[in-house]
Amino acid sequence: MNLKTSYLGFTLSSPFVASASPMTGKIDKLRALEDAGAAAVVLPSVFEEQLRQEQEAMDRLLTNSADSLAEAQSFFPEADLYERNSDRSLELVRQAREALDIPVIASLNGISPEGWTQFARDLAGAGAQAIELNLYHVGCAPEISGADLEHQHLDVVRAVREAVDLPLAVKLSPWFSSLAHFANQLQSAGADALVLFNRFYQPDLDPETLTAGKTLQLSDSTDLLLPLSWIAILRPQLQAQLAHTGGVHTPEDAVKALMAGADVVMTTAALLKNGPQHLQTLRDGLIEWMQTHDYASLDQLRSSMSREKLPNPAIFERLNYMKLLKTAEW
Amino acid sequence: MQAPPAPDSAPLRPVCMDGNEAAADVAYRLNELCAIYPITPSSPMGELADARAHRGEPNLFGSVPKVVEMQSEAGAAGTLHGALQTGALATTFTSSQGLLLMLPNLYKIAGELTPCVVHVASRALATQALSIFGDHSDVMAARATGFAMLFAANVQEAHDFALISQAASLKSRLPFFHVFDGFRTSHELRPVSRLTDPDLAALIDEADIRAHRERALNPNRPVLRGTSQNPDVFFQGRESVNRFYDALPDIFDTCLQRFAEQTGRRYRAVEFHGPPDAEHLLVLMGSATETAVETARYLQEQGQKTGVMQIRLYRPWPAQAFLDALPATAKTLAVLDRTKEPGGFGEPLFLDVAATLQAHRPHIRISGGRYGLGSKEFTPAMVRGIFDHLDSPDPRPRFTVGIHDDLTHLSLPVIPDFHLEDPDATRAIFHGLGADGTVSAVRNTLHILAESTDLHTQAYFVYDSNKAGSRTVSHLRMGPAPIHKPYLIQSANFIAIHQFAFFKTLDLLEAAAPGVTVLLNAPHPPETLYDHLPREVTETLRRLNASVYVINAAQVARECGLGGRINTVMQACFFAIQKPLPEAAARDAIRAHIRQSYGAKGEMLITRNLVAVDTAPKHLHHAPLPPQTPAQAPTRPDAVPLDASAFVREITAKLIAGKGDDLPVSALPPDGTWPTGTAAYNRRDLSPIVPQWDPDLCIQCGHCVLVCPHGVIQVKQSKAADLTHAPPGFPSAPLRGHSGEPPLHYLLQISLPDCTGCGLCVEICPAKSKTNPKHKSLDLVEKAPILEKGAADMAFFKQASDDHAEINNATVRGVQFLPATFEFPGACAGCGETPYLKLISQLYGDRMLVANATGCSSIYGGNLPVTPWTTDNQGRGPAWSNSLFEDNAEFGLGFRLGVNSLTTRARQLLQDLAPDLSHPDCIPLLLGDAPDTPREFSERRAALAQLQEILSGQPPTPALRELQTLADHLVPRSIWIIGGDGWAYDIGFGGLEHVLCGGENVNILVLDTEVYSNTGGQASKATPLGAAAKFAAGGKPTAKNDLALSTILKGNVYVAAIALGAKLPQALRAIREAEAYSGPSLLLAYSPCIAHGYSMRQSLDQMDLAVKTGYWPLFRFDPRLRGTDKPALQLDSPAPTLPLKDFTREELRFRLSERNNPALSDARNAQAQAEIHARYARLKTLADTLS
Repeated sequence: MNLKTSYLGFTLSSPFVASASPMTGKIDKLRALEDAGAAAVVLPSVFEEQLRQEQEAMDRLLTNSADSLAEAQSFFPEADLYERNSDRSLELVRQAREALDIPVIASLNGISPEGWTQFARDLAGAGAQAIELNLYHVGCAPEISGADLEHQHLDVVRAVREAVDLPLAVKLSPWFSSLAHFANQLQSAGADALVLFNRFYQPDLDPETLTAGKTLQLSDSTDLLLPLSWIAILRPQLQAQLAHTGGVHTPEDAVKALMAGADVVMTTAALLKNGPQHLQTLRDGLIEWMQTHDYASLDQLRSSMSREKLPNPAIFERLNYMKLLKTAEW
Repeated sequence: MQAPPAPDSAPLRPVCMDGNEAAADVAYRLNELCAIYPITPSSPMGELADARAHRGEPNLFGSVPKVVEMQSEAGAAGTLHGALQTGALATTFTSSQGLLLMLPNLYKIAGELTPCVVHVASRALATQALSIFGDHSDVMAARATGFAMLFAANVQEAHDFALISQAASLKSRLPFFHVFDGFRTSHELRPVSRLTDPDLAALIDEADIRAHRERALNPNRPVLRGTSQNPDVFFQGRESVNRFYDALPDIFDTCLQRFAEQTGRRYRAVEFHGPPDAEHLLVLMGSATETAVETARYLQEQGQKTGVMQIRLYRPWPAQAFLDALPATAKTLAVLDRTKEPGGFGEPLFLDVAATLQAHRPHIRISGGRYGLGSKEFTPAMVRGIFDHLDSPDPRPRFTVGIHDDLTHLSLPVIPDFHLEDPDATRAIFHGLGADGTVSAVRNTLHILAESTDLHTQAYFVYDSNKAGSRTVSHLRMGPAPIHKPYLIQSANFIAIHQFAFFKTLDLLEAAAPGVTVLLNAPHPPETLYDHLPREVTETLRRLNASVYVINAAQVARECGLGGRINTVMQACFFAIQKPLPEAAARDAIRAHIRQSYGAKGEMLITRNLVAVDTAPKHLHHAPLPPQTPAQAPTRPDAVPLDASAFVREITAKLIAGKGDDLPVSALPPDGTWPTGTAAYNRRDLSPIVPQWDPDLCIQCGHCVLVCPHGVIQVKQSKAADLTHAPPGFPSAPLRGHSGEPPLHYLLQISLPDCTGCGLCVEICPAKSKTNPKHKSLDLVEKAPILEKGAADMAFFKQASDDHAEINNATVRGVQFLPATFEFPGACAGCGETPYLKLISQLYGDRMLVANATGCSSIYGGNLPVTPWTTDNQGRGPAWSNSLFEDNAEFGLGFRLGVNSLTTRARQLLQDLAPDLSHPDCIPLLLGDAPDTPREFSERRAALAQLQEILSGQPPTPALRELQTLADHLVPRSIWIIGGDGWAYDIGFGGLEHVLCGGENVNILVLDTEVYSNTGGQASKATPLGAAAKFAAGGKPTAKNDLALSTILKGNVYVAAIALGAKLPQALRAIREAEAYSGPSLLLAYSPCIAHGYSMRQSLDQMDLAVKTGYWPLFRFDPRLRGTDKPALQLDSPAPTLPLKDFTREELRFRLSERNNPALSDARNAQAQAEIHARYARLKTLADTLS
């Protein structure tokens, strides 16, 4: 079965892409993913904020205790103690390029205009073949309107588009008031693809200790529906390619994502749960499903259930909600 | 040897370095092995060598030297000796006691005519006190070893002589001490003409190296070396080396000539500085020479016939060179020794000179003087005082200079205001805090000036004795003329005060010259500045007609994202005011230097500092002096309360105020015995944030009291009725769990001026508000608004009633009420060691003897001006002493044996005298079982008091008088041997092992920070696998030594591993069991340290993680339980529940290794993780076996 697809200018052997996760941060795991059939990999995000905080913390720890005491001018060995911006991430890009034959997509989350562009240049310089801008933002600031935020994001995309020649994907959260409009603007700003969606990790509260703690809840197939809907909605409206990420755990999940209009299907949680070889399971499952259902190619399947092609496109709008209410039994 | 490249034709710019770097730079390049051990002030030499080896830098011969840290200097010397025997080129670096520990091997090395150089940053030896500072006591104690001795006078010479000594040693076969003055030279920054590899190669003959290698032990040419000789030949053997010593002067001179040809710098073994007709001369060695030469030159200009004889080669004593250099006109000589030999005819240099003159120039009158002991300043005024003295009709044969000796009247008078500062030079003094970056700013400034201008420069730094909030004073000279002033700035024309609060207690303008420029970092604008300056300061500024500038540097730095680091801001202001460079050039130079020094730290920090450079001058304001001091200006408070003891008022107060130099000899305790309880007088006002207590939320658990590293949280249970006179709003709460009569209240107070704001009390506080969990019973708040009320509340608290006789000292809740006899140590904020000491002082303070190994605990415990060890309200408290670093277990064992002997004698006397004593009902109690609870001790003391009263009424027989003297021993004493891991695992291990095997009742507390914390974080055998530390820059390749396990296997030692922050009750229980055990006890106490690299506020969490990951399992082994139905080895923490990574990823020491070499770090992490499981399994098996 020919599963070839195109994404960010690359011809991929299948639509399965390993999304950014701890698993894509290690060379041996990346190799395992490639061996298991990953058509491309997205490396873990370079978080500018985290790098900044690490630099600050490092500087504080090293300098606060230095040059203070007659007996100890410092407390750590003289060495290249500071991580130069994204050293480790850049090294990973270099190593991944060396180790893998499949495309290597670098991911980036900036907090400053210069951070976004500089890191993008650095990643390109290190050999990244495409860049995924991770627009991860929690809108807690009351003084920033939705429109302001969208403008900021668009500026970032334009600036990065300007800064590097690489194919550019933009990973979004679903929480925009008019996602369709914003998606179009992103496309105009230079995005070659949109990745739907980012997951927000909300902290949990502990009533025993009266504390809030970080949680990492991996997705399952029930998380499929949100990106599925938006890919189906956006597919007819955009030239940009679409990547589905979130809730793809079974071959059937992948079939749905592709039918909704995804060019590629990204998966993270399923790989973390089941290991890299799960990609093989997905791929084999997809082929089997297509064979069982008499699909000759991916093209035949892809976008076949996007919003415009559905007999009842309004299902993706308010009608869906209304219908659910009506059928609910008490 | 590889052929060195041809020398560059263009002269190289000087490179700024200190004496340690100057020496180490050459030593590293000329050797194949560096055997090292940390000791102040020479540690940086080993650190630099280790760092270069870690980077893979080759030496002159193309190989990377092996740098090996040993367990002590004795070990380093042994390794040095062994390596030399194989024909390797080897060296070591040391100071002070370290050199003494090397002595036996040094005799061997010299006795076997083995070429090598030992680089010594010379330092005082511990006598009546330890001193980390410079003098020649150490090298003078080693002068009989047979090593040649070469003294450098400044940083350039320390660089050059590292080479010359090596060349001369290889050629002569005599080993060398290359000596330069500790701190004054080892830590002074000056521009140095750096020797290139071709320079080095030009001096080192391959033939000499080959000869050294050919003399090596070699199975292909086997020999026997190190025989035991009998009376028939030993003497002749000793004399057989004479010809090598006789030959050295010529060899040495040849080396000097070759050096001069190569570099243009000509030195002589003995150098005369002065006119050929000089009559009055000083003879001296080391850094003081420059001061002497400079002053003699000034006096020559005034018409005096003065000169200086600089001794560079001291051993073999260059008698002929000395006589050759001595002017024929010489009439009087003052020979200055920077050492003291009590009871001797004179000091060593004096004796050498005297004997030489006696034989050849007997008519020259000669005096011997001591100066500069323990880095006492040596100034032009002192030199002038000596010359004046030589010119007097009847010079004293012996004198001292630099102090006021009002007891033996040996000291010479000195004209106080005489100085030789260069009027054309900038003489700048910067007062800062360690944490604010002042020293690094001055360091950077020096580099900028040296690299961007032709100005001559010099910088030197002085630090106080506190680890938290340490004060730094930086002295920077720059000017058009060469600088030969190895002493602090005497007359400053620029003074920067980087911390406004210093004005409250310190005289910062003491060295100010008239017309001085003063730069203040102050939170006040120029308009109101003088309303806030102490009036004494304003009046001094007006008297000096000072030019004052002010900037709110803290605010500017904060706004630039630099936090509390004001260094860049203040540096920019210095350049803006002093203008050593044109404005634009200065800005460019600073910016370039920021890029260079922050280059590795990331673009963000560069940007922030660059912004600060541009922003600072815009916030710098001139603050014209007011016509008169504002009426509202505050006055400076008394340094100590007027009701303090006379000793504290007259001596301690002066030390605190930085006026210790003014104290005469008679003021000092001659045997080094000082009062305790003085830290309470050293109010340093360290933190702007402090905890505030909410009694309504508090559950009175006492955890905050136990974890507070600085002893600032104190509690009492007082009668509710006593609170009627409390100040309004005095916080208290009914005592929980108490329902009897009289009603009691729980009082908790925080000594606000002593709090460092570390936040550990807040972190451990379990009591949260149900409506707002952010609010705890202890919250950190701004100090200023509550300071006044806090002082009033504390005053009331101190006199409030307190009855802790009935408390249960086996519980954390109970022990909080025991008064601590350890308070306000100057340890780092959040120190992980001090809570253990405070807790032990609460339990046993009234009967403790402490033997304290040298290290952090001896510094915050016993470094003047004050000590945290104090007394309870009965005047009892720990009696504390520090002997050395290496001997602490033995020292403490001596305490035990002595106390045992005297206790046995007291009991015997009491038994003998009992039949004759009236009312002997106290006697059975005094001879009975040892007390345990506070009440039992109280009863024992009451019985003792009764006995003393009875004895005082009896006829004074010799036995009775003896019992009166010894009766105190009838209350048992608690012997504590305390030290860090450097002592226990390394330098003191042999003694520790012996004491543990000896069965005597001592309590050994190892404050395990897993590095040599006091000297800056060098690796010890307690350093864990993979952690980066100095001397293990690439991460420690071997695992931590399992001291606990090997000690448990002895079978008769109580052993516990504790981590106070992880499990308080376990730590308390272990400490009590250890003390109660009648044999030796070993407590291994996990002690978080700033050298671990994380915020100390997180140290409780880290301790918890250390336990949960199995990194630091908790256990107790009690030999008394062997053979009972209780487990002798009790595992107090479960099998590891978290991966080790959860612990290590939080600490910089592990992350540095990861960054250095991720693959190696991963492998070591895996190994460490496996070892943790294996260790727990071993403990479990052992526990099962012992059950």
